[in-house]
Amino acid sequence: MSKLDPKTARRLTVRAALGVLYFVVAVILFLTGRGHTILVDNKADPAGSYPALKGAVVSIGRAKPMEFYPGDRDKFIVKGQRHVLRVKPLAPGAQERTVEFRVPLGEDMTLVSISKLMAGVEPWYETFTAPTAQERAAERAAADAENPVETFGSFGP
Amino acid sequence: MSKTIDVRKILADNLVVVIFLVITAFAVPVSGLSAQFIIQELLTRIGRNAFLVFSLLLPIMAGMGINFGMVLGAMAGEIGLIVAVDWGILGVNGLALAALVGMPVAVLLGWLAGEVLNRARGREMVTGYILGFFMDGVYQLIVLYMMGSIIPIRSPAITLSRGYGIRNTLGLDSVRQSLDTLLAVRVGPYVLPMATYVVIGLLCLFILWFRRTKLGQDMRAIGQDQGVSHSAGIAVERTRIIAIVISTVLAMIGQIIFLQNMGNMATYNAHKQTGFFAAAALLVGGASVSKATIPNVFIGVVLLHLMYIVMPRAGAQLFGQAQIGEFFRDALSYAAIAMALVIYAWRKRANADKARAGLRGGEAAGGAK
Amino acid sequence: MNTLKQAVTDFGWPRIIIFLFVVALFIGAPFVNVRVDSSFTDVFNRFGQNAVLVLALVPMVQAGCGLNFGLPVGIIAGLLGSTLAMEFGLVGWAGFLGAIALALPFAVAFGFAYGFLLNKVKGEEMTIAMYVGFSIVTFFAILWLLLPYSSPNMVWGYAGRGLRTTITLEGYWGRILNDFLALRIGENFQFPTGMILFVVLLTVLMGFFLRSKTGTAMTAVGSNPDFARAGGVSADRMRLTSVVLSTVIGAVGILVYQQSFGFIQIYNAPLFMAFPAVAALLIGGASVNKASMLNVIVGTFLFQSILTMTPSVINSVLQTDMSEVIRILISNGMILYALTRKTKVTK
Repeated sequence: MSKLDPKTARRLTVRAALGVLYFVVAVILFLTGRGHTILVDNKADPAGSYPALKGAVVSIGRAKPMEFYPGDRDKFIVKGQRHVLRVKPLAPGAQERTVEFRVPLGEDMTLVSISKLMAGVEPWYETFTAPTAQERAAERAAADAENPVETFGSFGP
Repeated sequence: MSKTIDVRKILADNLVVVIFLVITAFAVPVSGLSAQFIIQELLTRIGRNAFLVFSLLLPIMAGMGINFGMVLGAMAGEIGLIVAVDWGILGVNGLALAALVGMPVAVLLGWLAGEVLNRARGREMVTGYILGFFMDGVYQLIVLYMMGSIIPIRSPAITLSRGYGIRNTLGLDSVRQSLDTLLAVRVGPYVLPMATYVVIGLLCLFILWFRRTKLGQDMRAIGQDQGVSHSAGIAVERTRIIAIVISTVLAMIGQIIFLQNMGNMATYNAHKQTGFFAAAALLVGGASVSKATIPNVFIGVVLLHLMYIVMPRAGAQLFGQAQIGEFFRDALSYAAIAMALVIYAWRKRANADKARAGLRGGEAAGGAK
Repeated sequence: MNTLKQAVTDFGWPRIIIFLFVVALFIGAPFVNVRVDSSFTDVFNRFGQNAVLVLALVPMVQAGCGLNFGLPVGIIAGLLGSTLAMEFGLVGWAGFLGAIALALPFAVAFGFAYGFLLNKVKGEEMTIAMYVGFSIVTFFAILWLLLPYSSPNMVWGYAGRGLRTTITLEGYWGRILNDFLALRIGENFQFPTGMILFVVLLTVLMGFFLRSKTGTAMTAVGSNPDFARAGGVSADRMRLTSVVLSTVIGAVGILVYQQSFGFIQIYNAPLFMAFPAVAALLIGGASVNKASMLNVIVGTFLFQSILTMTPSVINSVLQTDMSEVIRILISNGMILYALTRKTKVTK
């Protein structure tokens, strides 16, 4: 291999460094800016193994705290993956609970159940897949196929 | 005696500005809009548009006229935003990432535009304009047919129901006004998007600095005379390409700033008027096709947008039809561009005639183009 | 072999690609169940509809004023002609010919002003022409709202004033040229004889004009201004003549277009009408400073064939509607190609 003259070598180094910098900045922006929707719900177990909280103030990170009453579900939109979840039951004397948790990078929506969390049921969070418009349409179509709408003048086997 | 000639010259130099000022000064009171409303609108619109207008400065400096090909940069910015929204990157991070994604696209497109314009010397403006149309077709091909089929798109929410292609309107909720609200300062009844202003201020500094660099000097030299620059050892074609590349990249960032303020993106139309607005603003601000300064940008943005704010209302008050005001402002903006181009061409020809007359007179007036 | 190569270079590879594309469209059409005969009907209709607008570009190209992106100046004159003729209640042939007669004075006046301006801005004609066109279209948009038109077929019903966005020519002179001596062959093919004859007439007249003394002087000004000046030809006068002529034919062109289309479109509709005409002329083999009658005919035919055939053929092949993208790429790609070709005149 022939030796590069110092000027070309320097230029190459600078360019390579800029290229690396570009990717590093992009990755950092990506990781810290990645948005996640965290659905918080306060529902009792249908089987009755744990109850819903009578009322609680929930906050995630620096987001504005929200109040949850039994059966409530609401969402927080957060940036980044590591978050601190704080649940403060409204009942007097009840203990506040603070947990740190991590959302996987690829996950768009996470469902956190504060009733499970406070009752100590693991896992208290799970991946949530929102039905897309197409899926909903497909569901509707399937439902329609099961109970066809009877229209006037439709004859068929 | 010499003083009167000066006044006439100043008037002639700023004919477009003067006409615009007179018409707007007449329309503002007619519109009946409150000063507070108008000022707040202007403060917002300066943040929204100034960056885009700035992207036109360098090609003018390099003697390439108004870079109507800046819409290529706008398209690159839109592609960046589509990616940022699709990946779900929020806030300022999303904008920055959109700019980073748009950067290579803008550089590539700018380089392409520069190559094309180098082959169309003397008619850069019309070529740039048509290039914008052409690339709009390529943009549609990519965004409407390839995204979601060849280029992977994660979010079904932004694709058309047929499974590929981006929707006609892209909601930018995840990044909406994130730059404007990053550092919103209240002054009296007004809200100033300071972070946006800081970005624009940095750009001004960049342009001031750039003019002093070797490259900037070369660009100005080329703007003066390509032949002389070439014999002085300046790589004319390369420098012209660089001017267009920088312009395209700036337009890319400008479009991202513009769209974050709007909060919605008309995927297939957002860039169509970008070049027209930027050119109109700059020329209304007193710039010519061969000379444009930073004050021109600000004066132009304020004047043009003042007219855009008040004209529909003024039309409604005067004729009972807001539409007349809308047509009128469009006509006036187009006419402003036409007039500025005419004045420029007129003067260029007058100078050339003078130079030729000088040659005929036997004087050693070299460099008649 | 060398001459073939030369011919290919002269003609330009984009034109060859476009030509082959059109041939492929016509060959492929029957295989995807597109009827060739009805397609041809459409192609002939659209050819006649657009050919005069394309023809209007020729004088200015020949006189060295470049591609007339300011064609809307002529179109506006034509719109004035047709709206006035309707206002006066002219129908049938009287309507169509009356529209032309009413449009002419406007076209000549506009053409003079426009040509005078272009003479002042030599070297920058195309960009300025484009913005002059945009300006006049938007300025007239105001006038369409304000001018005292009163015919109930043209003005908005509820306001009683201001012209509608599209005005139907039904009952006036819609399709009057198309249906004149129209030839019907089979069930799906109709040949718009009258319109094609009209186009041929204008083309032949233009051909004769360009061979006349004035015409050759005009061409001389465009191809070799110094030589023309030495021959005692006033470049400015020739250029002015070409612009007036272009504007007048543009006015007639839009009238032919309207009668075939069946509607008068006003407000912003003429804004971008120059671009497809320019693209058609260039596809036909014209360059920025040279155009012939053959270029007009071939170009319009090829371009309109593409516009007619791509929606049906390409869509059935690819199962998506890509015709719009194809139209944008072909027309603007062609203009771009012509603008970036090194012209022999420039140093």
